[in-house]
Amino acid sequence: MNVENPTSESVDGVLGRLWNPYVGGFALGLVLLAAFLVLGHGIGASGAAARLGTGAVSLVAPEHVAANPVMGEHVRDGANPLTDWLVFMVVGIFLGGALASMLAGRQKAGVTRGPRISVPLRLALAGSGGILMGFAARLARGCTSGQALSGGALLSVGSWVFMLSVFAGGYALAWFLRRQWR
Amino acid sequence: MNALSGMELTMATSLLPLFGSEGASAEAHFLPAILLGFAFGFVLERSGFGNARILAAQFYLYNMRVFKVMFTAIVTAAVGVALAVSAGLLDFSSLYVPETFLWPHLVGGMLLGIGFIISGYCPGTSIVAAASGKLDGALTVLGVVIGSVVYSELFPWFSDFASSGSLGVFTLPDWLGIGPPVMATAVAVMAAAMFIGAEKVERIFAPRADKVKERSLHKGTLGLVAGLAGAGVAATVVFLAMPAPAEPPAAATGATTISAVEAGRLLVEEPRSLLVVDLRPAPACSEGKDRLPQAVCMADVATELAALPEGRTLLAYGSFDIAADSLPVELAAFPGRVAVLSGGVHAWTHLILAASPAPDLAAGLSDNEKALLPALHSYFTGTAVAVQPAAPRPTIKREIKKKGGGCS
Repeated sequence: MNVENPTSESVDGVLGRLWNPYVGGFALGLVLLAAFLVLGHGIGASGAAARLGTGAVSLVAPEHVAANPVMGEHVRDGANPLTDWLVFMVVGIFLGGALASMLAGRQKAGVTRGPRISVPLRLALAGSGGILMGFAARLARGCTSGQALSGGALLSVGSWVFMLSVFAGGYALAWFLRRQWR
Repeated sequence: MNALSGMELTMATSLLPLFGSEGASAEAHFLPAILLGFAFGFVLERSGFGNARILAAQFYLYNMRVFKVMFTAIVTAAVGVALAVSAGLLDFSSLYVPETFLWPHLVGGMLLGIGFIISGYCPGTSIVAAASGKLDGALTVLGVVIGSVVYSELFPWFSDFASSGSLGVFTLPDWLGIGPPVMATAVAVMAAAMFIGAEKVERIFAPRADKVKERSLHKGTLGLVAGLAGAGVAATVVFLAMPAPAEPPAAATGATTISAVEAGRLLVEEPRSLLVVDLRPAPACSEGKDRLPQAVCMADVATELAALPEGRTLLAYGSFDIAADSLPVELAAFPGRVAVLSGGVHAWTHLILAASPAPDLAAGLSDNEKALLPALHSYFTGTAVAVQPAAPRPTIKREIKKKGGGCS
């Protein structure tokens, strides 16, 4: 099977070739399946971000963290909030992404943006979208990785509600943000 | 017989997951987590998910990689899980399935989708973008961290909403009342149809956005998608061919009565999953007269009952018959299957241990049970059997072990 996609150079601003999306999805599904078989748990990304946040706040205000009902769970019984497999998984995601982009010749410092948006505005939007997602992922007990992908593959009703809502939210706002991308 | 096979079904254990939540230490997860994360990040990057413009294109319909990759992955993993469960390799009930909280999932999903189109990434893909050197990706990662803290700080004001619409672990197969492999296949077939639709949508919207439509669904990938649907069908066939799932142990409240022969079979076959309790008055039990193998006295067992692992079968007996509903409270509350030996010690000694079974007791046995008597007699008394000298142990055909028929 032809893994490399011959026409993907036409995709916006991507250097080098990408995998065919169905082949990439199949590979992603195998990774997810391996996680179920080995860990008994899917893939997660936002859980580690929450723990990172707890770790950062506890450097400044440890008593405040311990008293908080959410962050307190991460430091219960004097635990280090970063000693959790979710954090290790995110370290792996970073390393895997770094190696893949390096080997494909795509690892290059820069800002991804459409032709009609300035760099500062693009960065402001990237950061504020991230804040909103950090909040949303905690509310939904997971993000597109842990909830939509992992929970969706296990056919959890809540995960499918979440997944459809993500698409709904994205499509609802897409028109207003078109200048950022096109 | 039914009681026996039912017990076997619930006592079966599967090999996988390798490091489930029970048993394995937290540290055992670290290395597999970093390796799985590595593979996840690598595949995300190669699928183009380290690039915000490709991700955002999903919402402008000219490139639907997000949908294609995500749904192929979901179908692959769902069908894979169904196959592993149907083959008896994977214990579905020990997988972590996210609980359903309807309103937080709905609102959280909408907010995350809005954040997605604003930042151009989701939390996982922003890590890959940062790893590819993209400053906007790194800022999204930072934002997600900050947003999590904001959530924690504001949590006291909406803690009620955060757990509203709770349905517990609730899956589409639970909801629709169909088997998980059937559901996985349905999702696969649906996804295949939607992939064809996605290609059509791209063909319409790519020219409008001055893009060249990415050609991705050709013979090879069509075969891949069809193969996934086929594997789902295979899992469904296996699932439907399996015996009906046994009643879950929780539903088996109240004790059932089993014959001395069935009790003997359990003692031979599954001694370690059996807790035998002698309910005779203290002297008769503690003196050990006619006590069943591995039986303990009530006085010794009362304090340990609460700490016993689930999945065990409790076999209780007295001198003669005990009414199943008059068991001591501690035994009646046992979190598992409770069986009472019909006829008590009297039946045990006169059916199994006696050289020739008492005719009045043997009359109540089925033909299968009668056929087992000589072997059980020999096993528990250690004497050779006159009629079957070549079979000192009972040969008992084992049922195929399947946990809950693949669903839980």
